[in-house]
Amino acid sequence: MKADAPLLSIRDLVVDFAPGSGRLPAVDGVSFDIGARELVCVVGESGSGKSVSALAVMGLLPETAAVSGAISFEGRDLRALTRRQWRSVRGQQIGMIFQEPMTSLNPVFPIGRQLVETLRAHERMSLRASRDRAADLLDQVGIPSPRQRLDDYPHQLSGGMRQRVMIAIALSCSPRLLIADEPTTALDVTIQGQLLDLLNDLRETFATAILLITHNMGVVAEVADRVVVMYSGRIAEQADVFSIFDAPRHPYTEGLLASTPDLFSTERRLTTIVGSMPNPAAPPPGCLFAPRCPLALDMCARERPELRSVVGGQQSACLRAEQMAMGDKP
Amino acid sequence: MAAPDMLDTVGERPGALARVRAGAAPFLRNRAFVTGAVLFGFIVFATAATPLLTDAAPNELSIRDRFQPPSLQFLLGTDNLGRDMLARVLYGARLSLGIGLSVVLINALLGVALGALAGYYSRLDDILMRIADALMAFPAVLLAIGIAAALGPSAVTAVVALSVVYVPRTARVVRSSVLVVRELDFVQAARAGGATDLRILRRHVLPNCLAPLIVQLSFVFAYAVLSEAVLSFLGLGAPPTVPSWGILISEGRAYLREAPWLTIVPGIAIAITALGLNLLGDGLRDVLDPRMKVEQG
Repeated sequence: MKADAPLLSIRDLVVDFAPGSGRLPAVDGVSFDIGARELVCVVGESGSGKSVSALAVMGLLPETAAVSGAISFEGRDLRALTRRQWRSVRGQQIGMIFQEPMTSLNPVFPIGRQLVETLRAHERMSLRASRDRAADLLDQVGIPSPRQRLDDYPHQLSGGMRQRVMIAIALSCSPRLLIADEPTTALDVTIQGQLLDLLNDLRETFATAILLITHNMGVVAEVADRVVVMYSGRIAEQADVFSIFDAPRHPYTEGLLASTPDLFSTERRLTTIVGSMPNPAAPPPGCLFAPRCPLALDMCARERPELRSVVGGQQSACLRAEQMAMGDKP
Repeated sequence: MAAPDMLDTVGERPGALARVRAGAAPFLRNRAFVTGAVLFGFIVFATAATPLLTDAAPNELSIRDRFQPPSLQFLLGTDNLGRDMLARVLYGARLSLGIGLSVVLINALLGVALGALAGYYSRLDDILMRIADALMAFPAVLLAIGIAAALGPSAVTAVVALSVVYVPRTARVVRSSVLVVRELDFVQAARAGGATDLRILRRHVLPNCLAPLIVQLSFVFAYAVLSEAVLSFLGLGAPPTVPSWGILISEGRAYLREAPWLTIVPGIAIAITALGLNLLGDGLRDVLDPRMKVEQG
C-alpha cells in the first residue's frame, strides 16, 4: 500500500434494504481502500454483502435501498454524483463485470456492436476507429481472429469467451478501477485459471486497480494483493494476502481456509464451517460469528467486536485476534 | 494469448443465404404460420395488384347489369346499381387494409412508447396502467363505436377510435415484456457501462421485447380490419362513396335474399384477412416464444 490517497475509499458504508425493520443491514459499517493498480479481493459466503458493496460503489443499488457512509473515488464523492455525472464514471472510470457471462451480453446484437456502443458512449470516435479499437480489445483479452468475431452473436461464443468479451467491454475506456463480481464462478476450472491470469495481465496493461469479489480462496491466493473478508455484512478481517493465508486473525478466515480443498490432503471429507449465516431478522446479540465459532468465549455472545488493527496493516473483528497467532488453533 | 476455450466456439461461418435459410426453417415448419402467410399474402397481393386483376372501376354504374350473379363476365357478380363486385371488393381492400395498417403503425409507435415508459419507470407505471385499465374496461367494439360516433364518421375517425381501443392493449404487452427484460443481467451490465436510460431502453430492452410485440401487432391488424368493418357497417366508418368492406356488407344487407353474394363476398374477404392474420400471429408466437408452444401431433 502506498502512502498517497487511495483510488477508492469506502468509509462506514451501510446498505439497508428494509430500514427501520430491525433487520440486520445487508452491509453494515464496511470501510476499506483500494490503491491505484492494487488488486483487492473481497471474500465471503453468499449473502455476506460483497456484491451489495460493489453495487453501492457503482451506484447501481435499487432506489429502495437506504445507503449511508462515504464512497470516494479519486477524491470525488461518488454518493453526491448526479445521474449525468454518474454516466461518465460508470464504464469510463469504473468498469464492472458480472458473474453470469451467459446473460450479461445482449443476445440480439453482435458483440462488436456492443463493444463499439460502449466506446462511442464515452468517447467521440468514428465508427471505423471504434471498430478497430474493438478488435484490438478483443485481441487483448485473448480472443483469436478478433476481427471476424466482432460480428458474432453472444450465443455463438462459449462462456469463457463471453466473459472475455465482458472484460473487453469493461476495459474499453481504460477505467482506473475494474470491479469484477465473481467473474469466474460460472466457468469451469481450467477457464477460471486463464481468466484470472488474464485479469492480472490486464491490470498491468491498462494500469487499472481491480476489486475482485469471490468466495473462492484459491482465486484469492492466486491474484490478490490484499484481502477483505466479509461476514454477514461486516468486515471480519482485512490484511495483505500473505498475512491472511499464513496468520489469519479471525476464526472465520481460518474456517474459510480450512474448507478449501487441499491437493495434499488424504481426507475424504472437506472441512466445513458448521452452521449457517445468522438470520438477519434475528441476529445474535454479540459477535455475529460466535454461534459458529470454534473459539467463542462467553464474552463473544455478549459483545459485538469492532474491526481493529491487530498487527501491522492487519485488521480483525475478533476479540481473540491476538491469541490466534499464538498457536491457539483448533 | 490464444486460449484453448476457443475450441468450442463456432469454427466456420455460414454464408448469408444459408443463414437466412436456417433462420426461416422453423417458420416454414409451422403450419399455422404458413397457412396464415398464404392467406394474408393472397389478400395483400390482390390489393396491391388490383389494376391487373380487373378493368372495372368500383363506382362505375351500369343499370342494365344490376344484380348479376357471379359469372364469367362478372366474376363476383354486380350490385343493385350494376357495379362490379370484384372491383368493389378489391378497391375496398385498400381502405380496409389501409385503416388496419394505420392502426398497427400507431400501435407500434404509441403502444410501444407508452408500454416502455410504464415498464421501465415504475413511477409512471401506475398512472399509465390505470388509464389503460379504464380504457380496457369498455368492450372494444363498444368503445370504438362510442368514439367514432362522437367524432363523426370518416376514415380518420375510424383510425383514431380503433387506436384508442388497441393502443392500451399493445402497451400492456410491451410493458410486461419490459418488466422482465429490464431485470436481465445485460441491462445491469449496460448500466454499469454508463449507458443512459434512453439508450438502455432503445438498444437493450426494446429489441428483446420484439417477439411478443410482433405477435400482438398481427392480432391488432386482424381486429382492426374486423372492427373497421363493424364501424362502417354501422355507418361510423368511411363515407359510403368509398367502398370499404363493412360498407359493402351494409349495402348488400338490403338484398340479402335476392343477391346474397353482395354480402357473402366482402364477408369472405374479411374472414380470409382476419383468419390469415390470426394464424400468422399464432404461428409467429409459437416460433418466437417456445414456452407458449402447444404440442403438435
